[in-house]
Amino acid sequence: MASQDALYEEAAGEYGAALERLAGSYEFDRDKCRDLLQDIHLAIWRSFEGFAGNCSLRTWVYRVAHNVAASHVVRHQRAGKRPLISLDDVDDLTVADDSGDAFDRQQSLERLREFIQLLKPIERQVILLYLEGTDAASIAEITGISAGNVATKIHRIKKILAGRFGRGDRHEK
Amino acid sequence: MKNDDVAALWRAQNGEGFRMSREEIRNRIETMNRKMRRRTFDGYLVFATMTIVLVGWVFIDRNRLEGIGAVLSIIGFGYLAWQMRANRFRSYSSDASDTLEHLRRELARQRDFHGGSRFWWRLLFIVPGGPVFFAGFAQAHPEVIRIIRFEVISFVVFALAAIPLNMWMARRYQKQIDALARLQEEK
Repeated sequence: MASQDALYEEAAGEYGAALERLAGSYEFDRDKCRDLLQDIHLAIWRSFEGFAGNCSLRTWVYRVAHNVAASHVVRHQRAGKRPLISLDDVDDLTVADDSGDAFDRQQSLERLREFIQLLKPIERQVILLYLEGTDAASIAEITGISAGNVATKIHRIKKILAGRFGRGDRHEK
Repeated sequence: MKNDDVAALWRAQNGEGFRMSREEIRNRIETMNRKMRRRTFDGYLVFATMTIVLVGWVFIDRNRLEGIGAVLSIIGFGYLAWQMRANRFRSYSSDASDTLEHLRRELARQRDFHGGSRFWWRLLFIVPGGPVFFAGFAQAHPEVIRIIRFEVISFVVFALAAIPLNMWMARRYQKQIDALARLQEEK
């Protein structure tokens, strides 16, 4: 088994960008986001002390990262900042966006981040993993949600994204 | 924009290529430890100040009831400080279990803080000290008995109000735990 430092280097190289996107979707504030990202990296580095290779590096890294982020949400939820919602509570036909220029893409990303921040931690995790291109079986393995529930949630996410971010997918079904 | 485009747009955010060197990791751990030591010190400072004030009053008044109340209050607030430290002053863990399990543990910890035996112990430790101390204070200073009566009533009302409030919070956490359990059930 590779050393703790070597595993961390591999994880940071392979999943560093995904971890930055993850932290950015949990925290809008730049300084807090940076803090959260450091906490995630630190937790990942520490976790490799106990990594026995029972699951893939990706599963391990995402689990640790999402657990740190989920704890972050629970702590802030306790402070009574705002109620978090479920995917089932989301209206899927809000503002359509079918333009493709850079400004609108940036706006779409901002809206997507805002939307993700409204969600409960576990649903946030599913949508983030979906956006990172993770398949349903891996999402189930990382989150612990049953495969059937993951499939339902992905179906719901697709519907919401299609409704919120363009009309293309509405014609796809 | 199609779903695939949204996902591609999401993944196109490359970030700064953030990673931590060994030195930065060591510094971060030291910063976190320093923060925890500082919070612990602040907690001890508040506890020590409260103890000095209570013991000071007992020393001035030399009233037995006040003395018993002061000792009970010191024990009660010491217990509260210990519980809060155990519940809150933790750095983020490096837990690699699946998120449902991790969240369930986090929520169960919050639920037990508000609604489990830890809450009742907290109440049992804190509540008797105040009224006993105030009763002794009223004995020593009968001229302010009306103010003391008001303070005792306020203290008891707050203590009683804490019961439904904490039970409500514990139920809220339990509902979230139940919702997580449903996600594990196969359809």
